[in-house]
Amino acid sequence: MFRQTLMAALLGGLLSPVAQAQDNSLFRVSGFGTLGATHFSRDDIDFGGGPNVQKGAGRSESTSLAVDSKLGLQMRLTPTANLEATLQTMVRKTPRDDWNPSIDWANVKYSFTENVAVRIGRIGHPFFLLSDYRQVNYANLTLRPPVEVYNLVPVNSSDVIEGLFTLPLAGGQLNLQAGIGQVRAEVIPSLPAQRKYDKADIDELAYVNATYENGPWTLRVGRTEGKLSYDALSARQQIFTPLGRFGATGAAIRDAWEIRDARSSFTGIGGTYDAGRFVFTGEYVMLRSERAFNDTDAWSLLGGYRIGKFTPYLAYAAAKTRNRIEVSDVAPRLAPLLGATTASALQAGIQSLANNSVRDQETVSLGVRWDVYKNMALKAQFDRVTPKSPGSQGFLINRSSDYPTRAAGNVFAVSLDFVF
Amino acid sequence: MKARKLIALAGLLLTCGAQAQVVIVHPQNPLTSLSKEQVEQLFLGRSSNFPGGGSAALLDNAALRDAFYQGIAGKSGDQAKAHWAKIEFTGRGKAPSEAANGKAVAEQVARNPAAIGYVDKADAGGGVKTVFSLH
Repeated sequence: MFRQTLMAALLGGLLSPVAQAQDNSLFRVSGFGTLGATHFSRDDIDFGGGPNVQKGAGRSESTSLAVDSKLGLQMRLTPTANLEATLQTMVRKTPRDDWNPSIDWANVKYSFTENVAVRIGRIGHPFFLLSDYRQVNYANLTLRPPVEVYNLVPVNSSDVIEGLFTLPLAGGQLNLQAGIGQVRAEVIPSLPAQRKYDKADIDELAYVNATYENGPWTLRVGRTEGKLSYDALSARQQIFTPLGRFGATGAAIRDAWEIRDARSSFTGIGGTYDAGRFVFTGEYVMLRSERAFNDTDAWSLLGGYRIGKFTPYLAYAAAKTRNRIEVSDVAPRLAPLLGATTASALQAGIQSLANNSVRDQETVSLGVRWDVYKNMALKAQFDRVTPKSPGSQGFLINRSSDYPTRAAGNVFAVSLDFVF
Repeated sequence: MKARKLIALAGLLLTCGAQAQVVIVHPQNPLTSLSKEQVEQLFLGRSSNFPGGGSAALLDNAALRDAFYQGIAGKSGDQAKAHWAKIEFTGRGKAPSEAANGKAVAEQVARNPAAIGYVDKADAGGGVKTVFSLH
């Protein structure tokens, strides 16, 4: 019921012709969205756009409206000058492959002074340079954030308590954000027939994020740590639950590989230079984990040149696995207990789970943003996507058995981004 | 190339020839003047309060947006919009509300003691106080 009401409210927001944000000092409604059509040149695998979708463009349908489209609605209540409550909900393709709205922000912020505040509740988690506004495509130059960097984490929001500090520094402004909390996220299912989603949880989440703005420069460094639990139903049913039945050896192997409370970190550094006609952005991120989860580094570069209302741009992004996990000691240890065939099958299962996080890929993108009307930008973007590691499909999804390893594909997309 | 220089020159002459833009507040606002940096801080969302206190209700002037943001921050009106979208949807501030022209901005500023806006000098009538002038 609640979801239906929310949906109706969101659609209402979309249909009212570029409504101005509703505003009085107490209550404020605003929104953002993207209507996009995305084509992928292959028919044996999908390009998914965001990190958390079951089906994309390509094999599933050659041109998809679901890959880049979304609608967000934000409500803010400001009962006193120091107190503010924010609710942000978004409609886009979910990991369950439906369009049910998600609650991405739901927090209360109390400002002690203009420069010191505490925030409690759900926030868009600041993993990245485009951190907490990465869903707001209108705010960004490109049609979508670079997949190799931004799809490393299939999590958008965290539930936290955090401090926010602003201080003047060397003629600019330093924004500091630090907090603790947790993540409870749904991710795409490994066995959709049995459960519509898998789960990615982060416990003992702790993070700091520092952004420095000075004139045309924005520089950002951030780090998030926590204990990652990735509950893939297939791995649990086919590998880890059975392993638990085989005594101390089985349990030891399970504990060594199952992605449960795996100490993980995500560190990023990036910057933007935006002055007059030129825009440059660069970002480098490092994902580190343990158990059957690979470490990955990823980076992206973007340059744009403004010509009136048009901004053509060129971008490059890449992801590379560090010290790729090779599972070799499981079969020899289990063979005496279970026989060689079962032992190798279990080892292959763990290797396959680990391989899910091998996503080496690079993309070259060419696009243009056109600020076509106030509050609206029209974008067209071409991407050449090339998975790079043997046996891997990079960030492409929904692979068929016909897909030749490392085969590249082309994405053509147009989108209309708006805010209101 | 030559043509572009000429256009730029013409633009410059027009800007100089046009009336100065001024930043206006309510007469009850205790401020007497703002520096360009302070205007930039407010209109780029780096500060939500007036220097000396009190939260500021920002007003954009649709007719002057490009020239104003170019003048205070070297940004086009579209760039300023995109910049404000970041701030708005991360809960760090509230994007300016918009009035269609200088007259409407002056009327709203005259009514609201927390308001601040920018208009052509000619539109800054008796009901408002000028705190900054952009040439």
